Amino acid sequence: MPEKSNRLIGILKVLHRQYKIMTSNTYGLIGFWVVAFFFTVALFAPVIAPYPIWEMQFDAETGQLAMLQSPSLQFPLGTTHLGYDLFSQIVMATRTTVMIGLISGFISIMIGANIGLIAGYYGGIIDEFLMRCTDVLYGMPFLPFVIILISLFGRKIEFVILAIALIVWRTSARVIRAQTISIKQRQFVTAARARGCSNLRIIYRHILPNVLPLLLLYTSFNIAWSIVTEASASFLGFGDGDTISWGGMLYELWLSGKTRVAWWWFLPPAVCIVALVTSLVFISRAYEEYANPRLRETR
Amino acid sequence: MLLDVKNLGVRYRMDGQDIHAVNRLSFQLEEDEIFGVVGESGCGKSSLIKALLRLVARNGSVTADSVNFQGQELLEMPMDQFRKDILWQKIALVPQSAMNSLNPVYKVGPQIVEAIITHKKMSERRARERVHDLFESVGLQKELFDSYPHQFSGGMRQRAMIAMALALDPKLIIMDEPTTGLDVLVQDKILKTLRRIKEDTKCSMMIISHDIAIMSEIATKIGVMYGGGFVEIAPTHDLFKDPSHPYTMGLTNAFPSIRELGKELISIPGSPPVMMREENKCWFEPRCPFATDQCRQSFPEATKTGDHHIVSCLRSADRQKLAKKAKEKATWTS
Repeated sequence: MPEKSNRLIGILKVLHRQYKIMTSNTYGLIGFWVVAFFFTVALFAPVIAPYPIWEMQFDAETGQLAMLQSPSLQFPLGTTHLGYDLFSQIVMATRTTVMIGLISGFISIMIGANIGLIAGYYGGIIDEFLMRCTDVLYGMPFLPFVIILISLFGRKIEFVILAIALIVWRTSARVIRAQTISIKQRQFVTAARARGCSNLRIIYRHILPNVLPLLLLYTSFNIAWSIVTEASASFLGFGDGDTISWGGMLYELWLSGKTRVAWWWFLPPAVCIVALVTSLVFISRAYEEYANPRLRETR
Repeated sequence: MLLDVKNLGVRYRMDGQDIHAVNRLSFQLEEDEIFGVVGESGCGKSSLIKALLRLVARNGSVTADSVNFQGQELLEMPMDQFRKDILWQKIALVPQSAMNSLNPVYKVGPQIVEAIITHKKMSERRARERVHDLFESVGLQKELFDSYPHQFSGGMRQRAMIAMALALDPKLIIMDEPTTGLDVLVQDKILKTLRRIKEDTKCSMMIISHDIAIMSEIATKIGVMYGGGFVEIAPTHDLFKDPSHPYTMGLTNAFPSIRELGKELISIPGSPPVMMREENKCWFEPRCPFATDQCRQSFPEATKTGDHHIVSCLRSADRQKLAKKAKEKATWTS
């Protein structure tokens, strides 16, 4: 099947190209590998985690409950006040956080891109309506929105994802609308219309590929934002109680009242959140330079 | 008859005012004809094309007694049907500045293939073969199939757009400024290509340009536009031998002739009118050296002065006398 392998080569080429864009500067390179590291951990989390996360652990030497132990060979990142292994928790939390980040990141860019494209392309009343909806979202304080949504539907991970996605799309919609307005004035769009292309076809076949660099930039941004917002919601106790996330670990720490004692409990999730989000922002910046070459000249 | 346009009007609403871009415009187009439309900037050439293709912007409105294409009323057709059955299939456009009319993110060949497949039930392989043939007929090498538009030169992009327009064997190809922005050698090659395509496919062409020299070279019939309508339509040869409208006389003066090198060119003073309302007068009257009181009071209806020669001028009976006078510079400057 030569056509199939051609397609595969095509996909590989596209991926290679994305890799080149992401790693086109040093920060992007660092960002790419940090993100790759976290994604790998997330993928193999159950294999990596040495203990079940909700199970009390006992000290191998004394045989007693391993309460609030600092890092040791047996517990590389120490334990919680209930004797849970923190290393296992952080590994499993990586999985949750990455999943929430990716899913709400993608849902939000889907919403944002479509609203931006449609508003920008059609203009007029449709544009007015969609953009005022976006403005309403800008006026919506995030946490109360999530709190209400979660108290309505329950502390389920699906609703956390949905709540985040429903609010994070707003910026991407605005930016993509602006770019769409600029691209729809171009001659090739008129040419497509003169060829009898339908509106949807023009939007998705002719305009969308031209806003793609911007779209990828905002995908990366949206993932980063989703992770940050998930962490804050979880820290305030509005995460899913059945899974564990980095924000959720900090919430447990807060509840235990041991914040000032257990540095080994506090540092890892905090560092992970900062590292992953920063790396995603680095990648976004690499895309930004690609989408807007003028940024390159200022360096 | 291929296309019969009667009393076409296009107006745009801007800041609460109407701007009339096209006014009382009528013409007929036969099959196997190259119809050249000339006129200065702002005379309504582009609006005419947009009206025919129903691409007028939302703030514009189109009125007409009839726009009849092969027996079908174009303006009365449901938009969806018009889009699917007429655009590109029957009437194809090579847009102005065709250089930017290719989507920059797709390769040129596949772009055309894809467009063909979505319009016609055709296998990808057959569409590819079709594009290879088209490339050949417009003078593009087959190797360029997998190139991006930015790798093409201006002339090559123009050829690619012509290839695209030809893809579905349209009956009428409308070209908006096909040679603008190209150097003279490339212009010449494009014109030759167009002429050959017309021989091969027997399609009609409507070519819009402000370059009367190019028109004289390629068109079988020329329409001169002024103030949103045709002031004179005539077979190319007749138009230059026997210009009957003062504006046409002025235009032919303003272009250099190879036989009269060094002769000073005479331009028409003044600028084209901005038409805010329909008025019962000749729009060229303020710039016309031969205007009479009559010209200010009634709109000059189109009259036949020859078999295929149509003029909208009240003084067309005196045309030979006026044409002689128009050759003198003093006529225009005083």
